[in-house]
Amino acid sequence: MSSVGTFGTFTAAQLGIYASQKGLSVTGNNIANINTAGYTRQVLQQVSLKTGGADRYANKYDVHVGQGVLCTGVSQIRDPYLDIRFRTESSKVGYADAVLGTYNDLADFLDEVGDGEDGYGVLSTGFDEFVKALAGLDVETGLKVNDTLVRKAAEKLVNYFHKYAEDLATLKKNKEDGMRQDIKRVNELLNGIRDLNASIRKSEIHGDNALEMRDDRNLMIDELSTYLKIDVVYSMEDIGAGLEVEKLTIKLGDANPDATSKTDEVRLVDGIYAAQLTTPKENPDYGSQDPDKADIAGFKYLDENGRGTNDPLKAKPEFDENYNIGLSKLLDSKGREWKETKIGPMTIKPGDIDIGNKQLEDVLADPTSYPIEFKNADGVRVVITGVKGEPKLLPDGSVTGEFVTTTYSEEIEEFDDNDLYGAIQADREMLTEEGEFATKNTIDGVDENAAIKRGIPYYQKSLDLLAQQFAKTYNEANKGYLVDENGNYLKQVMDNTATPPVPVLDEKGNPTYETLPEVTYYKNKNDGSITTQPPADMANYDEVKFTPNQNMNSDQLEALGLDPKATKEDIEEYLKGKGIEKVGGNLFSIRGDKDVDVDPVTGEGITAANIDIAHGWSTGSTHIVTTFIKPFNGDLEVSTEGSNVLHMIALLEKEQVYNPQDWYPDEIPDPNNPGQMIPVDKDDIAQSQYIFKGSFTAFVNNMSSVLGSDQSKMNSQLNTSYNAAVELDSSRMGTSSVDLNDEAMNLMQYSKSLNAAYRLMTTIDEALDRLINNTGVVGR
Amino acid sequence: MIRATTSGVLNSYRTNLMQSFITQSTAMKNIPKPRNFHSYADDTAAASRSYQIRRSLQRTGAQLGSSQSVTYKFESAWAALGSVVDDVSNSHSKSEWHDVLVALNDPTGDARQALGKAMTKLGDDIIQCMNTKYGDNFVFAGADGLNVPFEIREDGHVYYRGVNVDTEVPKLLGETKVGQGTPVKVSWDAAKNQYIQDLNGTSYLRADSVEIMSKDEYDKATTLLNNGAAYDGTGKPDLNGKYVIVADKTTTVSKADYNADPDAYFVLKDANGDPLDDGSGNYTVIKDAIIKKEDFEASKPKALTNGANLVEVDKNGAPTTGGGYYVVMNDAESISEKEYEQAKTDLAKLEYMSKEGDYVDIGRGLQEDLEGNLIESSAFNQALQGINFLGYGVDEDGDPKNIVSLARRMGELCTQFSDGEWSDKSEGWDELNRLAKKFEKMSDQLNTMHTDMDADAKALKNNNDLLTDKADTMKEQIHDLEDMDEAEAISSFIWAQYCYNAALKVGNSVLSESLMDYMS
Repeated sequence: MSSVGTFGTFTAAQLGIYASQKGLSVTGNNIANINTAGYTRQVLQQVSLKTGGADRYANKYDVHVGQGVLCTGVSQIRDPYLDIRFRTESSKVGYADAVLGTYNDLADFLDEVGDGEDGYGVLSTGFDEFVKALAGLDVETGLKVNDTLVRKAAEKLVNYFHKYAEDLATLKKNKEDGMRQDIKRVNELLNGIRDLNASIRKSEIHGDNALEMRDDRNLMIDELSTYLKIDVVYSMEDIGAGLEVEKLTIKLGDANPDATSKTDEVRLVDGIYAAQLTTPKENPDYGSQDPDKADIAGFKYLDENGRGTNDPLKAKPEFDENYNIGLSKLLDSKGREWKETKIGPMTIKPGDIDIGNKQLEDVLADPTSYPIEFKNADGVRVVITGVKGEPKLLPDGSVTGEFVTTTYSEEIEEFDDNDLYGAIQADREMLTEEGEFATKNTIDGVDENAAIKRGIPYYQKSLDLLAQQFAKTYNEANKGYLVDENGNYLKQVMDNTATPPVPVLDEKGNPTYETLPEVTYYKNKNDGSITTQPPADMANYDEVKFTPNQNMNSDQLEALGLDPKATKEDIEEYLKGKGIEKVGGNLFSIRGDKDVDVDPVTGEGITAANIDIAHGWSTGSTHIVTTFIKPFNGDLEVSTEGSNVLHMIALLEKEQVYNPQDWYPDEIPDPNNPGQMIPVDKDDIAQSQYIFKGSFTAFVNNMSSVLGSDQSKMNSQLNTSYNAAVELDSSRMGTSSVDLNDEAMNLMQYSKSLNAAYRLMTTIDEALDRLINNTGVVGR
Repeated sequence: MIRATTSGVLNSYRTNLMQSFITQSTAMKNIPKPRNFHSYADDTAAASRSYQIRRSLQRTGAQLGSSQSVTYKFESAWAALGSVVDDVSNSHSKSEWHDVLVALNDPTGDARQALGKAMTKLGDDIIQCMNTKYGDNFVFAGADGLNVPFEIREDGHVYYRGVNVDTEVPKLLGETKVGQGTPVKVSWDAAKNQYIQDLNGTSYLRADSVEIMSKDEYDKATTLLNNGAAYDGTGKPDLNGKYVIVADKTTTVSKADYNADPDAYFVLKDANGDPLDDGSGNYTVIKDAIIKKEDFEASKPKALTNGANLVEVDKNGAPTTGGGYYVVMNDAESISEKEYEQAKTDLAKLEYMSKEGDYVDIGRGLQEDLEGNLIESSAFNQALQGINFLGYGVDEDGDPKNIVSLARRMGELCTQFSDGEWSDKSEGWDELNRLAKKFEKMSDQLNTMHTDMDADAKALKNNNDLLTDKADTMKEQIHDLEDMDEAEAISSFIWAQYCYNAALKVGNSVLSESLMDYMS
């Protein structure tokens, strides 16, 4: 027969009171934390108490009654699936937000809608004013003031180029600083999560769920997910003595579309260990043979003090040119590296380890060989400390056996270009992506989609290309050969009796000119052969006369004894030898103190930052060549002939082909031979040969349109992701956050149950009072 | 079904409220500056289109500026040319044409010399008019606007940009046309006092100064009777006689006719002074054939020789063996090789200048071909070549085609003849009359060109109007593309504000109501 103590029900009432009071406490805590960021609603875990088992001789009429309620703990209500979805979306929001932020910054100055006087834009107005000044010069050619006005308009235009180049450089610098801050924050979060993991682990060991710390950790993970696409895994960790505690692992979220990539799934946090993002820049003197650099040549990186180090975490945090990011080892808060030792089957292939000239199986069978260190297929450091039993040789030369191994954490020198996703990746892309300027090496070796991703460098290079094309067009237009009224090239008449020869001047003191003698050749009507000697059978030949010029065809070149495939430069050289040289000069140069558009020493070409009025033009030694025509060998004055000015006006409207390859120099200084130039490797220049075809202003329009379109697209992407994230967050909150109605219900419920428990207590008390004090007193 | 929690609802509400506020803020931007888009991102296609139109508008502005400048230049040219037309027109009493008429018709011609000077002076005035400037450029200077185009030099010729406008390239002996064929080189033989063919010579003979004569004609003109025997004035042989008889100019008369009226015939006589029978029973009439020996020597055709022999030529004057002709060069004029080349160059210059262009972009779709050469129809030629108005070169009569040169020639002609009675029988009257007819024709042509220029100026004005209209249309297009209707902007804002206010009100309810409020 089961028995219940006389006062057993008191205990049930007591437990009920206790549970209700606890319930009220939990409810109060929930209400109090309704505004706490990241707080997860807590619920009281209760179980019904029933002690004892079935009686050996139990009466079938006996009734078993529980003895009250027990509070087993307080738990949180979270939906892990919603967490995963939210964090995935969060990385998209982080990515889109960072990209859009950069696009908006770019649009602040590149998007000229409504900018400038009356909304005509800034850079575009520069072009408009330049052509307006040219039009003035065309109408009143010859007036020096008009040349000055064109120069002033050109100065204004180059200043706009400078301003935009500076704005872009500043933006890039700011984004670089921003990326550094983001990486710093990611590392803080990783360390923070690691430390919370350690604290939670400790609490769990001592029986505390550490719910508030979990909330903090969740907040950090949420924030981390905006910077990186991550995968959060909860598992149980055996801490010995049959006790298990929860372990949190955060890995990169497999963002790389390349399925073979493993580095996009590496661990960022593993329980009480966390890695750090690194941005070490390689020591420029790494591997140097220079005796003066001997103290640092052996180190891959330099620290803040310029001393060598091979630890990326100690290296000076500087970006390399590709803004590469690496990952450190997993370390705990005291700097100890994560490692895992286990005994298990393992197959070692020839080449996995260094065995010198011995046999692999012999080395592995020899106990003195251990420890053996090598890197496994994932590049992870593994140390074999011993083997159980005899290793076996397999037919393919591999050796298998039960090995004792210690595996260390992954360490990544440089992530693959697409391993990351989120705000950090957005920062990188905005700092590195060049769109159509991407080189073959980049497309083949780094990112096959590089040609369609456009970051700040794309806009910098686009602007450079525009400046370069503009300068090249007008520099070429301002240089040419003088021609007579029939288009024959003219050479200046020189007095060769003087040393050095001096120009022969006319009575007005102007140079005199003459044409080259006419060249005659005979072309065979049958076989197309050329001869310069009058043939005997003239009937079979066509007589052709010409004067040497830059656009000679192969027959004419042959008639002059030149290679029929002579290049433009060869022909220029030939003409120069004949005394025919181009007149005019560059209007734009790489700097205001120079006249060249390509630095012969460094190979530096014109960019938006360095384009300037050529020194000659600004000092008056060069002017706009209004015409190259010198009718009647210059004997007829054409002081207001402005055909070349009109040509320049037409050039502004002319369709130009913008070839990204033109941005790259043809030659660069030879690092092995100072002072020598070498051709640029074709793989190091843009793979694309086309970016746009149109006038200069159309190019500006195109650039703005591309930006606007990308901006619009990214805005939609951000809105979509943001709305999804908000929706998911609301859903998460629907599960996890505090609801006043709920809590009000709980308040009422616990209040009532508390009252009921009190009532129970009173009832039992009354009942027992009757039993104790009033039972058996009949007749007293 | 998920729970709707206070925090979740607030979170959603907060996001939606922010969206509503952003919408209101965006709508508010359109109140002070109502625009359909504020960036390319707002409406890439419209922004791009607007950009293109704005660039076109700027270009049109520049083109309009150029067109207006050219218009002013043409108006200025038209006014100057009007003065010239007034000077030469036959409808003005103070015109040069009036002076010409006076000179031709005034029988007393009291002031012919003064009129001549006046004509010369008026020529100078025309030159001054044609040297007018617009801004800093000489209007009629073609592509050399910085230098004075016309000048009258000491040689009395009018020069245009340093080239004699009366330049003539004569046809040379030996040429089939001017500049075609091989001209005959000659040199002056002082001993013979005539030009001789000389392959190393440095001069040419003007084709119009020599006569190509067939050998027969030459022989007839140079063969004398009796091998050039001398006769006296009566036709009687006389060893000391001063006359010779040109064989080809003799005729015959029958004895019967002669005897019927001996005084009617001047016949060849014998030593006795009797008519000489020519052997066929007739007498030889020598009335037109007898000529003084010295006169014959002076007038007989002098054929071109190579120093030794007559040079036989073809009918064009080109030396040809068996050509059948000789070059008679009694009035031969030569021109040195250098002068000839200079004349050719000068004429080429004049022709070049007359076609020379100076193009400007006035909105005709400026375009170049693939080689970078201007497609001329896409630009406007603003060059005004003075010689195209006043004329250059010489006509088939050798008279100047330049109206100023012609006026000066007529002026010189008038001054050559003394004042006094003058009629169509007077010396020089025919010449003046001939030139006057040409002058009148030139004057008419100038008048026509003046009218054409007026049309050009008007066309330019029309072009200005077109460009202005085009600019207005583009401004309207920009307005349509960029500017938002204010009513729409305000109503959008009001609606956004209404939504925001509604959202705020909802918020108040969200925040205030819960079961807590009903607990007692």
